[in-house]
Amino acid sequence: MSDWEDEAFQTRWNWKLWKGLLRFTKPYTKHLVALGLVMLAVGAIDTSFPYLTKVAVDTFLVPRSMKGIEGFLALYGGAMLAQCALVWSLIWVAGWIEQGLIHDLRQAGFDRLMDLSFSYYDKTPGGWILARLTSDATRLGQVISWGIVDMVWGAAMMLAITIVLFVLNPLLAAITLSVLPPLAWVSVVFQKTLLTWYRQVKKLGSEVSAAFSEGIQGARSSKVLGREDGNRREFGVRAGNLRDASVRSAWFGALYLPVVLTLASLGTALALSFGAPMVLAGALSLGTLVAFASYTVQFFEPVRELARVLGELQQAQTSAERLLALVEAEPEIRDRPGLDTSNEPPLVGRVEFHEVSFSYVPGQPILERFQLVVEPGQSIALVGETGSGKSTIINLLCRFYEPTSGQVLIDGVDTRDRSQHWLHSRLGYVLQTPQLFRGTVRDNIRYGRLTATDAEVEEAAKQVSATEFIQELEKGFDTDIGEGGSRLSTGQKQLVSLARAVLADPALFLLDEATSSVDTETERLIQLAVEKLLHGRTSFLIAHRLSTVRGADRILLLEKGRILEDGNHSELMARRGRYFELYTEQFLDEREKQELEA
Amino acid sequence: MFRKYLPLYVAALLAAAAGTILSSLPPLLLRSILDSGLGGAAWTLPGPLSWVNSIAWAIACMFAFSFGAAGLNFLSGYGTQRVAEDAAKDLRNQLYGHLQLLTWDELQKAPTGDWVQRCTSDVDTLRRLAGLQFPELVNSSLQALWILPMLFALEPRLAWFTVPLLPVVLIFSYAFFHQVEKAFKESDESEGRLSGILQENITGVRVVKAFARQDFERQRFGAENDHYRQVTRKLINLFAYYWGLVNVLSLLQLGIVLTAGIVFVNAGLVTTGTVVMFMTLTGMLVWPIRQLGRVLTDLGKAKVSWTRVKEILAKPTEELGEREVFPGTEWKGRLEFRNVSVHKEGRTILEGLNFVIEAGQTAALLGPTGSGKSTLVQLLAGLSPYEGEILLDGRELATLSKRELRSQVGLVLQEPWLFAKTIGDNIGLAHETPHADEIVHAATLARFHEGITGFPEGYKTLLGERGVTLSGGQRQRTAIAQMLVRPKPVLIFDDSLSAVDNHTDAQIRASLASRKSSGTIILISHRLSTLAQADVILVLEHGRLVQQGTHAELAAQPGLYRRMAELQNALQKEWLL
Repeated sequence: MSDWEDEAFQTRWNWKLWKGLLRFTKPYTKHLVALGLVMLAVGAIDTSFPYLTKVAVDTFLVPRSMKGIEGFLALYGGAMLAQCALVWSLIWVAGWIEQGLIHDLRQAGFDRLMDLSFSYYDKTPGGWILARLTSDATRLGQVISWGIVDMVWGAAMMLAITIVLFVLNPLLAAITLSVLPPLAWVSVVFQKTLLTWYRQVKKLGSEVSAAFSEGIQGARSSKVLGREDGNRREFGVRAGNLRDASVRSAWFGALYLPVVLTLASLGTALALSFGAPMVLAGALSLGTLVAFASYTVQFFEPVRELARVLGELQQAQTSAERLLALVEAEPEIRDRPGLDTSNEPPLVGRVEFHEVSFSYVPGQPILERFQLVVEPGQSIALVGETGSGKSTIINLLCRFYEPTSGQVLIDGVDTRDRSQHWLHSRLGYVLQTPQLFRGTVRDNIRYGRLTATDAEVEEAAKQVSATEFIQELEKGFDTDIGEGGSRLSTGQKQLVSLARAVLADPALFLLDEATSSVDTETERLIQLAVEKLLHGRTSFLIAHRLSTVRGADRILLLEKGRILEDGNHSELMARRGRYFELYTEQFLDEREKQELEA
Repeated sequence: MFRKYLPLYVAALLAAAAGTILSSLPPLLLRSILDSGLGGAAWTLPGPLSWVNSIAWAIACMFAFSFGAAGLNFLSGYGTQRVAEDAAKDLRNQLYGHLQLLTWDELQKAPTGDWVQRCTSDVDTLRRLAGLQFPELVNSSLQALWILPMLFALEPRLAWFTVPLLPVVLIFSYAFFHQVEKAFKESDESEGRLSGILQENITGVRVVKAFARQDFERQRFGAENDHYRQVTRKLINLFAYYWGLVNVLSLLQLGIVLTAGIVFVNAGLVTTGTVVMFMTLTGMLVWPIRQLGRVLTDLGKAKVSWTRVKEILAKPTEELGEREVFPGTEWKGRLEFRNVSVHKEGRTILEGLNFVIEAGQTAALLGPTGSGKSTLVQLLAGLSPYEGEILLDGRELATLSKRELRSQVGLVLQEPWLFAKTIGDNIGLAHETPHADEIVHAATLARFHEGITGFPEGYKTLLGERGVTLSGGQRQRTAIAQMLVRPKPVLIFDDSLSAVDNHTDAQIRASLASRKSSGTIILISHRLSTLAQADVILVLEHGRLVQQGTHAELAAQPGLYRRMAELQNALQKEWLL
């Protein structure tokens, strides 16, 4: 779990990690080199402006001369235009690299997600995955592109200023630059501390958001419990913590610039104090003194940037590590190497579980030496409590998981001897909670068979009696149903997901029946649709509704991974066993509810 | 509500103003140092600074002024941000408190996501405005208002050359940041869609795999990913143009001052030091202006945020009142309805209800969906208004404070919310200082003790996103335990046993009845086995009380109750006979 707690702060430099990122930066090598060169030039030109002022002072101002002013103005204008072009291209190239990297990292992560097995999704919270492909990818892209900008620029500026100062006057340069070591030290310490504190503020901020969310959703429960005061007290502590951390980092953050500015003006004072006598002694031109004064002020900016970027790079290691962990995760289920997929037979529908054992967590077996043979065309209802193994049987049949021992055979062949694509493109699967995707109703039904014509899509909808409600939507089949189908009711989503399965026309059909409450009319429609779907196919149902159970060829009552009772409805009822008990209780419950819905 | 912060805030802004003035002085001193022939010739400092009469003094003062300006800069930065954080904290607390006190009807239709957004990012926008953007705006304006007159006072002829491009930069900057909003929006929307697809694929991974649609999804994600990259690069390109151009304008402005200065010096009109000083001060003017456009755009956003926050604070709330209006009363739990009706939005929910439930009785409410059962029990917990009279032990409910009423009447919801705390803490919520024994006792009564000790961490098991997800029946049993931690004379179960099986349902009711002072119990249920054991059964239809009596009485009358009773007979006929 601790792996998912956010924002562990790594202080060590991890070269291996950055090497792992190299394959992502490779396509941008040319851009990165170009960016570096541009930044060198920007640094050089930024350095040249105080120098131009020096030239102006020494050539035109002090001697009161206009000689050569045209040339000077041309130089100034040239530097100005060059700077314009360079700034434009630096932003353009850095943006190009940044967005390219973010795009590639996301795509690589997504591509891998599509290959990963269910066990990965079981172990990893959805929010964690989402954060890797959103905030972590963004942070890495930013740090690599803009980090280079600031680093190269900062280094170029510092180097250029140092060179210029030493060329102008080595002694004065040495005196002036004595403020540099404390400046660098202060910057690194400040920036590192600030980044850590900002992170703390962010974490406390998200706690406050969570508290708001919980406060609103839980307000009704709080009310009936008389819990308002307690909640407010707890929230007050959270809001107070956030405020304290924010004020602390504001205090520290506000301190940085004044400290650095003071150090810079100390540099100016040093330059003037030692420079003025030199000018009077004729050892230094007035323009040079002016240049020294401006360079000391110009120096702190690159130092600050360098310190910041170094801190950010270190923090980005956490992002890099987690993102790479996702991109490099190995799917547990893979097609057997060298599998011939060119000539795959159709699926007939004979299913056999042979001595199948399985556990999600080692030491807690769900199935042990499970045996089951299902003939083509049979419909099987799986009945039992949570944890009895119903879903596991379906998961193994879909090869979402593989047995720890034993075999799952379809048409006499071990599922591991076929490709996943062969199996999945031939089975239909309808979930308890219908899962739809952003797009139109038509798109969602067509998901079952991408090559289907419009007429076929509409026919599928008609078969599950979904046409009526679809036509009542504003744009019929072309209505946009929102993210995850959020604009449809649960019952409507179920009908669409059934139509999707009908269109796929699978030989093997799996249904995790819904327990969610829909109105009686919709329930009847769903019922009819399911019956139509089951006809003539091998099917497995995790059944909650009595009528589907009754209609099944075989009902398997499961308990702790074993088949307790096996037979059709009348056989099991006649046995007066566990099924009989369950059925009578449920029957009464449902009828009582129905009576109250009238 | 923020008036108390005004003095500190104004002081912080004044510190910023003083800092601006101080930081404009070193260039003035530098001019004197340069023009005095580095201490050789006469000093030219204006009045207030005339006491600085040597180069050593001047250098020392330059450093001192810079140091002072830096100190003031710190004070103003810290001061404004501190005020902003304090005010944000107050606003957050006020919002949270307000949300806790909203009326039941408001909470019923609460759009959580939208409200959370208002309470977090909108408050944040306001905090940034007060702490950073407004001070920045004031600072830049003050700088212009101080430095420009200073330049004109010192050397009016040259000062004219410092201003021509400043308004251009300002207008350009404002127009740009205003325009670029659209591109930002496009990029944000695309990113939103991208996260949407990602989210759908994470939650819908079973469907994707079961239909073997991995390649299709890769392409779908890829297309939006490409689109996001494209629009965002376009956005960045706009910035490339902006910063390129605005840099040229700024450098051009500096170049104009320098050229004019050279000409003026050659004409003998100004000194070299004056030109150097003008260059520095013009720099101080022109750089902040480039950011001003962004600040002005942000001001517009803050206004919208403020409206959104105020809308929440304007929603109706309820008054919880005193802990005890009738101190010393020993509440028994006798309930009497006298001609009670409820009308909502022109519809009649309940009409003319008259009945009595004696203290200690168990009453069952039965009725079709929409017959008003839930509304009825909500009245008892003081959650919504009604006409007529409801008496608890002879006292009209409206005369009790809400706080008092709800500590006597416990309503267990059908879909209770459990907080992201341990299961033990959740059960103890209603108690200010819950004792472990009381929690275990309550959980035992709710038939959940064994379930809880079955978790690896027992009562310390964390619930919620980072913890364990409970099943519907487990949630309901937790909610029942919450109510049982403190003894209450009236307990109401609003279909809050619906997700537990018949057997557990019966066990819970048995343990409720076994309590020393078992109090009055009101049950809403569809289970005949539950209803049949009640002392009195009330049948509601269309908001009216249509039948009332015991199991034996109602089973003998035609009506809803008998129809339900007959279901059981039908079942028995079918399989047992």
